[in-house]
Amino acid sequence: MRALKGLVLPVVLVALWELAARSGFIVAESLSYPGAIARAALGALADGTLIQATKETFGAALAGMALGAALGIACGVAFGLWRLLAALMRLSTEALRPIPSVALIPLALLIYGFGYRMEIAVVAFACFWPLLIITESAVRGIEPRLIEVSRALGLSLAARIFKIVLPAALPRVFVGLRLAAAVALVVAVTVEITANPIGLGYALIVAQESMKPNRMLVFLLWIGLLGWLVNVVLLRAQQRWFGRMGSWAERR
Amino acid sequence: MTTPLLAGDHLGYQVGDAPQLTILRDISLTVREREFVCIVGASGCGKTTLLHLLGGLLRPTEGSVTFRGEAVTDPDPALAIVFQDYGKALLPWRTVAGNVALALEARGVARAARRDIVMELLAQVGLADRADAFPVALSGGMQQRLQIARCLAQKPQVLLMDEPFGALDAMTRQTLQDEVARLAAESGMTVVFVTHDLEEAIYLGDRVIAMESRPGRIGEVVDVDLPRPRNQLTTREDATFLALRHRLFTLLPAGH
Amino acid sequence: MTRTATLQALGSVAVALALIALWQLAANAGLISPVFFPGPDRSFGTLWEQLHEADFWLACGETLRRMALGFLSAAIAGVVLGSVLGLSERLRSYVEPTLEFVRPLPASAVIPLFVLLIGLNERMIVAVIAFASLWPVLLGTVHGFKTVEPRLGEVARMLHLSPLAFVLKMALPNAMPDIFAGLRLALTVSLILAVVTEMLSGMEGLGHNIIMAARSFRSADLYAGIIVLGAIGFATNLALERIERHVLRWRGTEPG
Repeated sequence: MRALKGLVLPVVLVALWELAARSGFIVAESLSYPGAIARAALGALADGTLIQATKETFGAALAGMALGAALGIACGVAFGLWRLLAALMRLSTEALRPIPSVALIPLALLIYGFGYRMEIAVVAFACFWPLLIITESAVRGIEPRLIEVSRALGLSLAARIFKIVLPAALPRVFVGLRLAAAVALVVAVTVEITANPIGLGYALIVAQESMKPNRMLVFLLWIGLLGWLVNVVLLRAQQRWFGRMGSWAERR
Repeated sequence: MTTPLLAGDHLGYQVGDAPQLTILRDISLTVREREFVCIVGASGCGKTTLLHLLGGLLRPTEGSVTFRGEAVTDPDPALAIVFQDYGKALLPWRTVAGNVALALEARGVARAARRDIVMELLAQVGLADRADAFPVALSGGMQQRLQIARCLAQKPQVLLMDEPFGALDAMTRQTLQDEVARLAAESGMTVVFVTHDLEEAIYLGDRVIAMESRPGRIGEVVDVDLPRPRNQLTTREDATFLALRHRLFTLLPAGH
Repeated sequence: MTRTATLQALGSVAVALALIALWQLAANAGLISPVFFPGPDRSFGTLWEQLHEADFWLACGETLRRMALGFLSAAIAGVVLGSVLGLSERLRSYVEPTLEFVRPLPASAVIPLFVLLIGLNERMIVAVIAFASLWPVLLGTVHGFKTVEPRLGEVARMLHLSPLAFVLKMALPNAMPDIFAGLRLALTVSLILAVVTEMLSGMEGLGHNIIMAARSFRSADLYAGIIVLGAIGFATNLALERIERHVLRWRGTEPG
């Protein structure tokens, strides 16, 4: 029932739009109507650009996220376990964090030129911060009793981190990963729109500049759909894997 | 024979479709002006539901509630309800004084007159020196007193109290019991006090209505013939007190 | 501040300075071409020069102006729409699924659409910023209004508060923490979109400055521009946090 209700608004909007376009209320060149968009969608699918661009964007986003998240988690664990380190790095992290990742696009462009590397670099920077903050907070929030137990068992540092700390922090870190995935996709598309001639963002710009509004809308809607799908899939995964156990190792 | 101020006539309350759950069955009670009536029963017997019916927050599925002779269908400032979860009934973003002022604003009291009334009420509940503090800074007992002050600001005719001291420690509870008794006596307020604590009910009330559970119905009604003002030490050792306690004890499940 | 806290703060300053010194050493050693990697001396030096140039302040002003216009209009629209949606379960059930779809959409993806609809001009930039900033505020506001404590609703009914009084005295203050969370996010988004739109549109602004610097290999200008943008991000966030802390001071020492 809820799904049906949710469709009412989009369906109404689309219907109004189709009507407005057909009746000449909206100038035909500036925007198109749903029927033509559907056709353009099939076109983009058929000539392979949709799939190719999706692969490129996903590839860059995934690689960037992996890099940024790995570094963020590593630093987050370090900051979480050693307060002194976190305190000493406080000023430096607070100074670097407010830099908008998009401001680094020109820099990455300068250093790497066009291509995957510059996009991965910017995405990595963007994904680093949420994971750093969330991991640090998650590690701090681990039941101290667990840490004491791990010390009493005489586990080496590496063993402690991989067998106790990381698994204990996992639920919250996963939430951070979910966040980072969304960020990665957004930043990747933004990099492509502003500077990088690969992927869905670039396809969007090309469509706009070649005055093909139908095609542009296809890519826009596709990007939206992908973002929504990624979020839904990760949310389901989170609920399945961590739902029952809740925040299993958190300080009460 | 004075007409009762507040009365419930063959009240019933059911929830659900199939199966239907009967929370309350055939409850009739009357509350006279200036009376302090305590309703006592085990957890889950429906006494909170009964209080909400009396206050107009819920509508009975059977029977009716009358207040000053008229049917009660909706909540009214004249029937002030003091909730057990005081934290949730207070506005955390307003000061102590601001919370009391809310009732005055609702009544339409002129802005200029509010401060004095607020301070007077706060003095009555012993919170005058915390007027500018926020609820988060107050202890549980103080927050409950604040809620009582806010209810008094409504200028109610009846004070409906829903296990108001249930979430507080024993010592605070005793202090507040005496305060409520004092406030009621000084203002001549009519009070309906719901609790699961039998001794508290006998200690405070002029009359105790003991409820049975599943479904909730009136078990026994007794008059409390103890002298006022009551005393935490002597009253609780009084022979009449103990006799009443003994009599009502059997009605309630073990542990009360 | 305690002694350890002061020491740690000083320590973090020392570490930051050490990192900058490291940066200088690396630049001097010439391991990476100064074309890509100017030292802090050149970067901050260029920044200092820029601060004396009228052009810089012009660009800065443009960026800030667009940010402010977009952010403020989004804030107002978001709170108004969010309050309506947050209070109406019915409206929400129709609108929420669409909101869930738009939320993960990269705001910059709508830029080509807006260019087609509005053209490559000032209005487009502000419209894009406003569009992107709207969602965090809207969603935050909806959540804040959705989660009004039901007990407060009962208190409102008891006091006979008008619907407007309920919204202004209870729903809105209750929603404030969530609204501010949304505003903070919207602020970050507005800066990002300002930079992106400026890069794309070639219009005067800090975003335009840094992309031009990159294209003409003026790395010191680029680094200076990044520092400025970081500073703007930091300062605006700090200002908003100060406002938030004042408005929400009733929270006391509760974690935010």
